[in-house]
Amino acid sequence: MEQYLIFRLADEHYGLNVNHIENIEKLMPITRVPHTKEYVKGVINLRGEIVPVIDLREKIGVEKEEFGEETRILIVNWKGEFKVGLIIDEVLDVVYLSKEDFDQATRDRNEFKFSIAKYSGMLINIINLEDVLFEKAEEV
Amino acid sequence: MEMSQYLGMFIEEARDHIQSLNDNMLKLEESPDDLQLINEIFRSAHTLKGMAGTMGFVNMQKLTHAMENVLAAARDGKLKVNPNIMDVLFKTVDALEEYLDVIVATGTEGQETNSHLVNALNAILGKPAEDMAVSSAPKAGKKHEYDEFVVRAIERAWTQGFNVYKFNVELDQNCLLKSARAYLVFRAVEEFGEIIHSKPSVQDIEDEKFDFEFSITVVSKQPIEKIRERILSISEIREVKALEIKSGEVERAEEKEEVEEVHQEHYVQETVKVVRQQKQETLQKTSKTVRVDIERLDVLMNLVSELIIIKSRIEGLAKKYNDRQYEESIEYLERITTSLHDAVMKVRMVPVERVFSRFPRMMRDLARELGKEFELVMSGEDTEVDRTIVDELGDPLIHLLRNAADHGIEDPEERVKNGKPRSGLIKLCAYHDGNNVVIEVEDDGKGIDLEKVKQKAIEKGLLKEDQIDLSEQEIIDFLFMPSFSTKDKVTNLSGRGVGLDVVKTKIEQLGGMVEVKTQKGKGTKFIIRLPLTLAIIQALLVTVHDEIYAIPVASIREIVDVAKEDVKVVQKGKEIIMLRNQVIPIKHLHSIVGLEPLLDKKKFTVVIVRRGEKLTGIIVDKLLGQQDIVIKSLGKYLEGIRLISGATILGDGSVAMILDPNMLTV
Repeated sequence: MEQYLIFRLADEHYGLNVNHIENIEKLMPITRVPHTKEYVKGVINLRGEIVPVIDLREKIGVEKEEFGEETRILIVNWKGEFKVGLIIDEVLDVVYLSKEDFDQATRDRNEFKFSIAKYSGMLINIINLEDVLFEKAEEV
Repeated sequence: MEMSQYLGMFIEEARDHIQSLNDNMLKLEESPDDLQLINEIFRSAHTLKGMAGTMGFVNMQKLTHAMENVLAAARDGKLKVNPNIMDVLFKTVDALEEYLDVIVATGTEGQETNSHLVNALNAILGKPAEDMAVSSAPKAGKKHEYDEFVVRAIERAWTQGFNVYKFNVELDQNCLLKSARAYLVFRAVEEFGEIIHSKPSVQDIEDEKFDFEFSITVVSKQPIEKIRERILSISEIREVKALEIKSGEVERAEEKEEVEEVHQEHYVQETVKVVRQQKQETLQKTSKTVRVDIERLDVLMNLVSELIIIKSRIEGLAKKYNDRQYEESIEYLERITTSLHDAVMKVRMVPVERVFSRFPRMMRDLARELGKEFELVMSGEDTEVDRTIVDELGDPLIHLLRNAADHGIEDPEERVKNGKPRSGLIKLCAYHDGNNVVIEVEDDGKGIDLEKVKQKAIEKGLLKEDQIDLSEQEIIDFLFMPSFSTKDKVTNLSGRGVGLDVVKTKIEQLGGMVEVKTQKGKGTKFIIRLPLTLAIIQALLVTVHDEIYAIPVASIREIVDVAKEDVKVVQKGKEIIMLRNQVIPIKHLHSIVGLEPLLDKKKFTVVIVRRGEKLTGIIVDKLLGQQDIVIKSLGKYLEGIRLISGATILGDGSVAMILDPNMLTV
């Protein structure tokens, strides 16, 4: 059994293993960094630390939308090497998911592959952090 | 045993010893009869051996052991140091350094036994390795060597009817607390008599600087077997060889070992105590410095940076209140943070000697390898630079020094023919210049043949044949182009070019720059300019639209206001301005950072940045002013954005990008 953070992007549910997540921050001023990919929104000042922020909607190809009251930045830590903020629409819940909760099937969306978990009637797209943080080979 | 915590300490100390081996051996080469030096070298080798043994690096230990034997022979006058011996010793030190590198990388010493070196070292002594294995083991019939004081103590013991025994104690290989075990042996033996000598010294034994063996010399009236059995009754003792020393078997050693510098009067009564006390004094002397992990300093530095940021913020707030007392407190805070910042910066500073120290050795080898004659003169080794910079300096400097030796300095015959002294001169010097550290590598060789460089540039298609009126500087710039130095052809070129682009890239990464001055037939001088510290710089804050950017003040030459009509468009839409009869190319910050053009303006603010001698004007929207900024990395995720060299947090908590001046002038 592992814990997952369930959040919303547009009208879909997504999940990310909480082991990756350091904090959840409210939206804060983001400074644009020139010459970066479109989905890289810039950097934030996270209590003295400069942390890049990417818009998860844009990254995985969900339609762009204005940020709202519930918009949050998930600060994730990649193997202690760097931190990145992921902008998501709304944090919903933290739940335990066991193997039985996962579907055999996976879902392809653009170039991303999600495992699917079911939780109290919801379908949750489980995000593989590596896919989100790193470019696919052909893009490099 | 948990060794990892000692590994770092071992590596640092071993490096120091290898460095001092190199230094002293270079000196020894100059004056091969200096016993003091040989002694010093011997001690370093001895300590290294002990340390390697403690850490379980067997190969390293064996090699240092063989080295130590040679040095011991030299010290005792049984061997005369000659260039061949020096070569073997130098190679041994190189091998030790390789072990250390492997240890740094993997935590183990690796499989290399360097048996050829061990054999070579043993061959110097004319003995097979086995004979030398246990130098401290007492051998029947052999004379026992002690220094003056011990000999007298022994003689006095005999006249008073004591017996003198020597015990060679070997600890079990699995023994964990070797020094504790040895202490028990000492205590046990002291029940029967006095210990007048131990090898290694008591201090070394306490510090576990011995393998698994040590020997003690004891005066006692008890039978030898009784004492031996008592020692054997202690656990984890593998073997005890006992030997009675009879008169006529003792020899005075010529050299005093450091351990034995104890006054005679105390000897028999208080040997152990006195030695301990003495050692404590030396310990106190050395404990005045502390080795600190650089990461801890980074943490401290970050905290100070935070403090500076919040201080700026409070300063901003203070203006609103206009309260005198409040302002005074803020001023006080300002002073403290500035001093604190300075203090932390100073702690991070290390002398460039750290890199320089390995060069004499390197240049010696290089001279032999190239068959050239030159001398390396270094100055300003005590110039201090931020630790992070020093660590990065090694490679570029090696490059430049090799270049100077290889391409700069001529063959001795050629030099004589040209009326120069036979031996060339390579100067390496460092000094402070304002907020910069300058390092110069200068040779009195043949200089760079600019004509050949030009030819090469045309060959490479970097330059059209009709472009002839290039300034000297422009020609020299070709040398630093990556495409200019290809392995096969450049070696034919009498000038330089090998890897200079690498040197330049490295120095620019450190926020510095490289300049070259050369005169045909007279020599070449490379001048490296580096910031004192990487963490905090003076920057000019500028805006374009609603974005704030920081430009390092060090790279700004001046700021000028230019009327719109004075910006001329030349070929291919490039814009220039004329400033005091100099043509300066112009760029717009908005297009550099990928924003929309500014609204139509009648006057432009142009920040003129320089990189070497090259100037570029950057049109900005507004100037916000100059301030100290703390450079923060954008982190691994965003690395590789060439235009931006980092980010900084402004007084209001917002983030501003720092522009890399080197990229602005491209």
